[in-house]
Formats: sequence, structure tokens, C-alpha cells
Amino acid sequence: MNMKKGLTRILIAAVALGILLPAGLFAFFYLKGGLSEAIAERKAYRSVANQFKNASRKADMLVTDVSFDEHSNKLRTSVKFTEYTHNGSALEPKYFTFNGNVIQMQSMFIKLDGMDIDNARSLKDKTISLFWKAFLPDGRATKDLELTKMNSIPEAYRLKDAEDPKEPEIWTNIWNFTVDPERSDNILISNVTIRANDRVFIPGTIYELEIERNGKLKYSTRFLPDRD
Amino acid sequence: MFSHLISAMKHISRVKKGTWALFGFFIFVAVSLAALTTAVDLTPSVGSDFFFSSDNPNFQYAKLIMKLFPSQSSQIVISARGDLRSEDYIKRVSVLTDLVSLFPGVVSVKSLTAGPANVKDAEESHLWKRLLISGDLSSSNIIAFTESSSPETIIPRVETAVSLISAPGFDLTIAGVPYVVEMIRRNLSRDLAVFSLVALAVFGVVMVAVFRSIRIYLGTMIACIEACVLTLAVLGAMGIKIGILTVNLATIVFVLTLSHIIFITHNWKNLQDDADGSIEKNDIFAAVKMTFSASFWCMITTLLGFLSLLFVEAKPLRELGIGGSIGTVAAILSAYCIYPVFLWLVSPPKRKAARSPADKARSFFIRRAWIPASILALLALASIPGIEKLDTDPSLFAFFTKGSALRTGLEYIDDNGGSSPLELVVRDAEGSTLDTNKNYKRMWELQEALENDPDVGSVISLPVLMSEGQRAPLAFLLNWETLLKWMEKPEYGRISKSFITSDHVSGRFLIRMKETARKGSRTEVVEGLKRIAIEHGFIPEMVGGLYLLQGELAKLVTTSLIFGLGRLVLAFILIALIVSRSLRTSLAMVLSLVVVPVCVFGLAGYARVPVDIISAPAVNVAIGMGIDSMIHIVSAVRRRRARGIDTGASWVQARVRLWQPVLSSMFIICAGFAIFALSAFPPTQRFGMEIVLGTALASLSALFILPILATAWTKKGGS
Repeated sequence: MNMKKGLTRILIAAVALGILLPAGLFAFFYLKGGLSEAIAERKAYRSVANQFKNASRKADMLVTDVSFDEHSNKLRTSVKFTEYTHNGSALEPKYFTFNGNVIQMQSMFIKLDGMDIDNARSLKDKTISLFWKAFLPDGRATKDLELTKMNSIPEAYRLKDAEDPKEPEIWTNIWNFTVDPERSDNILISNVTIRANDRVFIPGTIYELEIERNGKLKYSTRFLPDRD
Repeated sequence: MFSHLISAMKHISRVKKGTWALFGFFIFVAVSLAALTTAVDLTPSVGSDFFFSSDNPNFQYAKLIMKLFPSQSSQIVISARGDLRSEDYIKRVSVLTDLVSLFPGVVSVKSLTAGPANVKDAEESHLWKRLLISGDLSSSNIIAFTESSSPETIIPRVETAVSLISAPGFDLTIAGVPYVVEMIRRNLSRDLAVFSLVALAVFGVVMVAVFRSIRIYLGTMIACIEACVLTLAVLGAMGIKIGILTVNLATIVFVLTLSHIIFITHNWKNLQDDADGSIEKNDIFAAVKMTFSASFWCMITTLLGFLSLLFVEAKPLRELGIGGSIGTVAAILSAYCIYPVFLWLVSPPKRKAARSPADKARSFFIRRAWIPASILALLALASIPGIEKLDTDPSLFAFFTKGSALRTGLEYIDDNGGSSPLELVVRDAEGSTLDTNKNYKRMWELQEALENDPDVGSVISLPVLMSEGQRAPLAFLLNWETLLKWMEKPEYGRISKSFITSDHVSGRFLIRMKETARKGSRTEVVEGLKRIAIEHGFIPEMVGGLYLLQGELAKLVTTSLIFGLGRLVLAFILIALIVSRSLRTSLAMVLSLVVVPVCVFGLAGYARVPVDIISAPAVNVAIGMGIDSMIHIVSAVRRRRARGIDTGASWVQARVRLWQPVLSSMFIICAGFAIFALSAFPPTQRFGMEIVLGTALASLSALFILPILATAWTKKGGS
């Protein structure tokens, strides 16, 4: 009796699993590729695309301190680098110190036109302007700083009000589109070399960097206004 | 005729219900296998980008370099050995060049007859000398630049051309990334077809030998095959292709299912022996119930082990994580939903009259268990120094058998110009453009410094290309900048764009790296080359190419395995606590388990057996097996402790009861995976042999080390 009962239970479990598992898998994959997914993705793309503008973007590099390091016999320059979003709000500043009187800045300009996605229209004529790298030459201690990391969500374009779980996936798609060797003209890498006047960076100098609407990086210099 | 039909019908009606059930299962298996092979592509897919997922930053930088310096970076190199100055040699090179250039997917071909004017011209040219001629003038290269199309289509054609044109005094060897990738794919496909099937057959034969029942054998096979079918079907539905690691997934899932089945069968047999009225004869449900708890926790530990691989960067390991997780669940479902039906069809075994084997085992576990335990402990201690010698970054040649024609050919090409591509993008440290005469000289100095590195085979860069341009008549009248502008024009194929960006800020050095000369890891070598660039006043901006990707992958595999094993051990501590309800037993379980990776990696280090991406997860699989045995033994101990038997006696009784399933499971798995040693593909051999070693150690550790550690400092109990 006990054995029959056990066998019946096993058979019921086998039949139930045999039906439930394929049904569950089918439902999962149907929903995954289905309507709700498409709607969510469209909405997410629209939110992310709203961050993109076909306009210039700015950043400041303020020389905060210059000191002479007796140990290495080199001038050490400290700077505060602040990026701004398209609408002018400042991002969290980055601070770095380097030796020497030259710093090279590099930007990446991405044209999203032609990105092969379902709702590509939302990205038509949209561009992304990134302050990408800073190169700090210093002999053997030469280094490069990634201001925007590859395959990350750039801070200037991160959704702030309403985070979307699809945002990282969308950015993965954007990066894949950016580096796709088949597309020859969707990015422009631009460089500027900032040299100190009189061989030394002067504290209080602000180097205003701008990625123009055509993707070119340029800079201009001004000084902090004197405090009265 | 009609009477024959009636007689056949009568015969069919006499067939037992069990036979009908078997028949039904066979049809079920046949249909599911047919559906699987029709709907899911089971051919291993190995591309030149199989190392990383597309969102890996290293891989993205490699793609960005390809984009910024447009060129056909995929090359098939055919090295032709012979007398370079003989007419016959040149004629054959010419025919081969023309033939290869006709193949679809081949963009252009460069050789002594397509590029330089003649051999003397090639010798005098900085570019052709580096690209086409070996250092000792004993061979020249025919280089086919290909589109990113699949090597599966081009390589067979190249092989046919090579076999047609090669002759005594004109030895041809093929190399290049597409060729190596195709060779790995072919080996994996063959191993999947041959060794997986042979392993299944061996598992089956050993199962029949151990359980002596054809129905148990059939039930095991059907349950194991169904688990594999379910796993591969779900993987297919998720759009995951069979890759370099998931190629062995079917065997792994088979073994996972087998492990549950062996313990169910042994518990069922033991229950029949113990049947004393409290348990009904052939009570399959009781056996299933008794085994399920331990099996469930075994499943959880294995599942956690595979799930831990989902968070690693290496794409093949991540795919194995997904496949293994699905397989773990499929294994327990199959083992507990399909297999018990077959037990029901089997006549219960006769009760054993004599108890002598159990008495012998009891006597052994009480008196002599310390001998194998001591041997294992000594082996583990002796293995520790070997771990440091472990090669976790093997060369591409480690994928092919030492001394084989294929490997010898690859090594020859490696010695003569390098075999693995690396791309280094540099910019001037002072921020000036590279199109000045001063920077031309500095780039030459960097070129020569890079070529002097023992790990570098050959380097092609902008100065080498420009020196070729300067050989043109009256080119000496032009300065560097003008010459560069000329070479950017469409009539010169915009050739310089492959080596300098349009703003002339960044330049690319295409390096063919040597694999045989390497002393350190690939990433260390790359760091050394970056330092050379810095010392020459350049900033290394980006690095890419297969050489770096392989180095990064080796690093990722090592860290992934360390963290994977670490996470597995942490999860195992938790599960050991749940199963044993004793901190001491849990610690004993973990310590016994640690013996497996220590011995496997240590012995591999001593034997100079490299840990490559394919064989690396073998230890995890072996640990999964070891955990199973330990959990079943500890569960059995707990059941006995609950009946009031003291600790020492419980351990002895549990081992007396379970040594047979533990060893049978070990024997079956080892026999199956030992077949992999016969493969001609070294990674498959290593995978099989490491599982054999790991499984044997794990099972022996569960039987001998675990009880000693768990019962140390406790009062000795009676037996």
C-alpha cells in the first residue's frame, strides 16, 4: 500500500513537472521576447535618448596648486576637473596631480544616427559627447586617466530622476555600436594638448574645454576672478 | 496470414506492463533526441572572439583599434620552406598566391610574387623583409588578408590548395588566428561526437557491472540522457550556442544525474537488506525519501558552484555557469522523476544471508582507515609547493599535441616572425603630431627597440610603411609629412590610415608576438612593451589583439576560479552546517574538500600540465562529486546519531553502508572520464584526467579524511 502510494506520488510529480516546466519556460520566453518587453524597452530608450542633445558640452580644468617636489626635482601640478551636462549642471569633480607642464585631453563624439535598434527614430540626429581620457606625461611615471570608462554609463548621461533597470543594457548596446568596426563614421576622437605658459601652470587658471557640435575638442583659458 | 496476425496480437497482449513502460520511455527518449537535434544547433561554435563577451572593455578596445586603424587584421599565414631563389619555388609561390586570392572571403594576398618586385627587392625592403621573409632566408610567407567571415569556409579551401601545391623542397605550413580557431573547433567537434558517446557507453558498461541489472542500466541511461536533452534544449531556447566549455556540458550533466541515481539505487538495495517489517519490500518511495534530502543539498552546492560562474568576466565560464545551473536542476528532476519508475520495474534484490563483506569493511574502517588518510594528507602537503609552479597562461601551442605536424608548423612560424598578433597604439608624450621628420626618427627608434625584445617576432608600423614609400623614384625629394599625405590618398589604397589616425596624433604598431620564447605571463610581456614605448617618449594609448586578449583571459580564468572556488567553499560551509548541524563536522568537510584542488593543482604544477580555459573547470566538477559523497555520508551519520548511536560508531556504520556507492560512483565517473585521455586534443585530455584525479581524491577524502577530522578529539565509540 505504502509503495503504491509512493509510486503514485512520484508519477504525479513527474507528470506535473513534465507539464509545468515546459509551460513555465514557454511563458518565460514568450514574455521575454513579447509585448511587455518591447514596451519597456521603447520607454527606456526614450528616457535615455532624452539625455542626448545635438549640442556642445563643456568641462573646466582649474589649476588648484603648483608645488616643487625637491625629492624628484619636478613641479607637481594639481587640478580640479569638472564636467557639465548639456543643461549646464556640474558633475562631481575629479582631482588629479601630475608632474610636468603638459596635459593632453581626449574626447569621444558618438553619432547615434543609424543605430540598428527597434526604435531608432528616438536616437536620430542625437549625439553623445564624452570627455574620454587625460594623458599625463611624466617620464617613466607617464599615465593615462580614463575620465569615462569604456562600457560604463557616463555620469553626464545617467538617468537621475527615474532610474531604469534597462539603462545598463541600453548603454552596452550604445558602446557596441560605438566600437563596431563596420561603421566607419559614427565616432570622432579629438585631442587637445594643454601646455603651461612660461613652463609652469599658474594656480587659478581655468582651462575651459568644449566638445563642439561637430565633435571637435577645443579649449580656451581664463583666470579665476580676484576676490575683493 | 490472418491467423499470424491474431497470434501476434495474443503475443503482444501477454507482454508485461513493465515492458510497455520501457517501450514508452524509449519512444520518449527517441522523440526528445530527435526534437533536440532538429531544433538546436549542437555544433560547437568557436570564433576568434570566443575569449570575451562583447561588453568586455578589453575586447571593446581591440574593436576600437580596428575601427580607428581600418585594415584587414585577420590573416592566414602560409609559410613556404625551400630555396627562395629557385625558379620552381617562385613558380609555386605564384600559383599558390593566385589560387588563394580567388577564394571567397580573401580580400588580398601578399607574397614574394604579390608585393615586392622579386626576392632581392623583398630583402632590401624594410616592409617586405619583415612581412614575408624569415630571418634565416629559409622560408617566405604567403599572407592572405581575410574578411571577418567564418574560418570554417576559408580554411578547408586553403588546406586543399596547400596539399595540391606542396612538393619535396616546397614545404607548406599554415598558421594565423583563423587557422588556429578552426583547428580548435574541429578538435572540439570531433571530441564531442566521439568521446562523449564513448564516455556514455563506458558509464553504462560500468553501471551494468556494478548493479547487474539491465533495467537499472536502461533507467539510468534514459534519466541521464533526458537530463542532457532538457539542459541543451533550455540552452538552445535561451540562444546560447555550444562553445568551448559547454561542449562538455552533456557529459557533466550526465555525471550529475548519475551521482543521484547511484545513491538512490544503493539506498534502495540497502533498504531491501534491512527490510524487517517496518519497511515494505521494494519500497521505492522510502529509498527516494531517504536519499532526497542529501541529494537536494548536493544539488544546492553544485548549483551555487555554477551560479558563482555567472559573475565572472570570461564569457566561456559564464556560459558554463548558465548551462551547469540548468543542468544541475535538470539532473535532480530526471533522477527523481524518471529513474524511480525503472526501480519499480526491477525485482527487489534478494536479502543477503552473509554479512562478511560488511564486517570486513567495518574492520577496515576501524583499524586501517588511518593508512589511506595519512597517504592523502601527505600527498596534499607535498602538493602545496607545486601550486606555485602552475602554468595558468599557456601558449596557443598548448592546445595541440607536442611533436604533431600542426604544432611543429606553428612553432616554426612562431620562431620566424611570431604567431600571435598584438596591437599597440601610441602618441607623442609632448602632444605633437607624428607627421614630423623628428617623430619619424623617434618612431623608428621605438620600432627597433620593440623588435629587440625577445618576445617580439616582427613589427610593422608607420615608419616601416613610409620607408617603403621612400623607395619610390624621386620620393627622397619629399618630406615625411608630404609622403604621408600621398599615402593617405585613395590611389595608394589609403594604406597609411592603417597605421596613423587622420589627425596624425596616434600611431599603431602591429606586432607579431612569439609564444615559444615567453618567460612571464602575456600581460607582463605587454606591460614590458608599454614601458619601452614610454622610455622612447611615447604614451601607450591603447593595446589590443589576440595576444593581449589571451593574457587577460588567462588572468580572468585564474581569478574566476579562485573566487569561484572561494565562493563555493563559503556556500559549502553553510550547507555543511545545515546538513551536519555541527560546526566541527562542517569544518572537517571543508578541510577534506580543500584536499582536492590542492592535490590537483599541485600535481599539475609539478607535471608542468597547463591549466587552460577548457580544462580549468575540471576541479570544480570534481569538487561537486566530492561534495555529493560527503553530504551523503554526513546525512547517514546524522540519521544514526538521531537513533542514539554514538559519534564514532555512527561514522563507522555510515561508511560501512556507503563505501560501496561512494566508490562505485567514483569508479563509474573515473572510467567515463578516463576515456578523454585518448583524445588527440590536449585540453580534452587534461579536462578528463583532472576530473579523474579530482573525483578519486574527493571520494577517498570523503571516506578517509573526513571521518578522522570529524571524530578527532571525541570519545571513541563502540562499533
